[in-house]
Amino acid sequence: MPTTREQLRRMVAERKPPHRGFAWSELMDALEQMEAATRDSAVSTLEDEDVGVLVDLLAQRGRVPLRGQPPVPHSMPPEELVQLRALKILAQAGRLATIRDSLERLDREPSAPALRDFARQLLSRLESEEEA
Amino acid sequence: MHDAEPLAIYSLHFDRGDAECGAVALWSPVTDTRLGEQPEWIRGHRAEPVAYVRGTRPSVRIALLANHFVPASFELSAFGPSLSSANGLETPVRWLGPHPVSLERTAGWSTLAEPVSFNRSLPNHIGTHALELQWVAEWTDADGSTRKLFLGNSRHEFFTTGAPMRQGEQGAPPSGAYVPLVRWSSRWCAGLESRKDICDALLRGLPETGLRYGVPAWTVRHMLAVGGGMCGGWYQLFQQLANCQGVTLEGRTLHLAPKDDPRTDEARWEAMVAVAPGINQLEPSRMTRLYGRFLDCARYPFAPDEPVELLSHVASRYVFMAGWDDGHCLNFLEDSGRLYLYDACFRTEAVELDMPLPPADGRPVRLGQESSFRRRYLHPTLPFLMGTLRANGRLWEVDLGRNELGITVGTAQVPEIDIMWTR
Repeated sequence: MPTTREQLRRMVAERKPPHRGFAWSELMDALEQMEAATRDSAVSTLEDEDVGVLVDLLAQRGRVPLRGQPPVPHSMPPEELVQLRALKILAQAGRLATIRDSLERLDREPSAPALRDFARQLLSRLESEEEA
Repeated sequence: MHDAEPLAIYSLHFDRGDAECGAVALWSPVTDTRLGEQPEWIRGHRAEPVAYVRGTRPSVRIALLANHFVPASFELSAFGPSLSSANGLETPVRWLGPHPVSLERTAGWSTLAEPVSFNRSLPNHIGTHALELQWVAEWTDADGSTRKLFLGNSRHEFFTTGAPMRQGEQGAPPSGAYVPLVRWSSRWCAGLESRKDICDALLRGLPETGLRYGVPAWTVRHMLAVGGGMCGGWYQLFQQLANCQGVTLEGRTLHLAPKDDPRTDEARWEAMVAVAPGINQLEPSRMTRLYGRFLDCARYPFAPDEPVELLSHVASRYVFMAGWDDGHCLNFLEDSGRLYLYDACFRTEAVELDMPLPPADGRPVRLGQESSFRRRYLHPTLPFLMGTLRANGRLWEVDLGRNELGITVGTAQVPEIDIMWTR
């Protein structure tokens, strides 16, 4: 039985989401594993397939086929929460250059203030890095 | 169709989309378009409100419709009640004109070349004003006799706001504001001057919107469409209401900092819990509440091996999970050296706090029991913390997927609470 993380990778590689969709808690756990991979070692161990998953989650505006009813966060919609988490992991992994388009979109489009602010911060960090 | 009069006022355009017109741009939340894309008043067809900062002298682009022989030149005037208590509210005054007009054609539409300024300013206070104007054309015939022709009435709803607003704020239209917000805020804050009084009036007025807490919508436009929202939408709505009157608020999201203890598998804390139904709700919203068996702890702290009384309640509550993924959104007003908290979802009055505005940097902040934020806001508003705790010889886990709700402890009983603030 493939893990949720593996299913996410396959969804991006083959454009084939799992038949029943993802359970919200499993999706959050998979993101937590990716976050841990960037946090718990001096050098990021986030694999390229994971980066691909996160970039795709942002490109899809956080929309993932889900089964069951996702919980309702109070401060932002579930799709924006998925994007916020993906941004945080990619920022920790130093992979911002792969998501310039998504950062610019989030800066431009209406979204939760926390998500938009974070995207702005990352965009400005990316621009500073590119200038340096 | 209207009766074919010799000459009639046809349309009046106030918000023409340029800075010179001085109007506050009003947007329809239904179509997300500016009301001023077309004349706000079109005879027999359209009558949309118009907004200005208080004390502004409006200007209006005027179109006339001529049906029969009419003089090619005349003076145009509009009369209506003064809107000034000093003059008597109903005392008729000449709001516009006499303005010289030369018609381009004596049958059909003529739009005056330039917008015409009103003779007087709108009231110099926040408010909503109904103004009915009577339009007349006056001229002198070749034989020297003065003539007057009635061109019809136009009815307007004017909003006067407290101060210029900031444009293009988060979730707001690119300029101005959604029309229900300007209408509500101008009515609730009529005659008020201080920023604190304005915010207090806005908080008191919110129930009148009919919008409810606990509806899954997170933007102001979405809230207006579906009749309510989550705190992430409510705090933006409150910010935009205040911004309509030129008052700036600082939005913050309150997060509970989670802390796991790997030695005991306990987690203090997993969530903040609200029991109140929220604004315009009689009971917690079925769409977003957590319904289950809560175990409320009679006292805290307690040792894992000592007996502790757990009061079981099957109840509906709102649960704000710890960490970055969830939180409760609030607004702060800094005024005259004091800090006030406005919670549009759960509180009907401002909460004055003895602390500076918290920076939105996400750093953990430890709150002792004497913290004014805890005593005056957190304890009454989010009266429980939910944790995975050991008690009576077992581990009571929080697992929402299995509807296991751990143990809920009175927030006031917890010695120290770690929180974080973000935007």
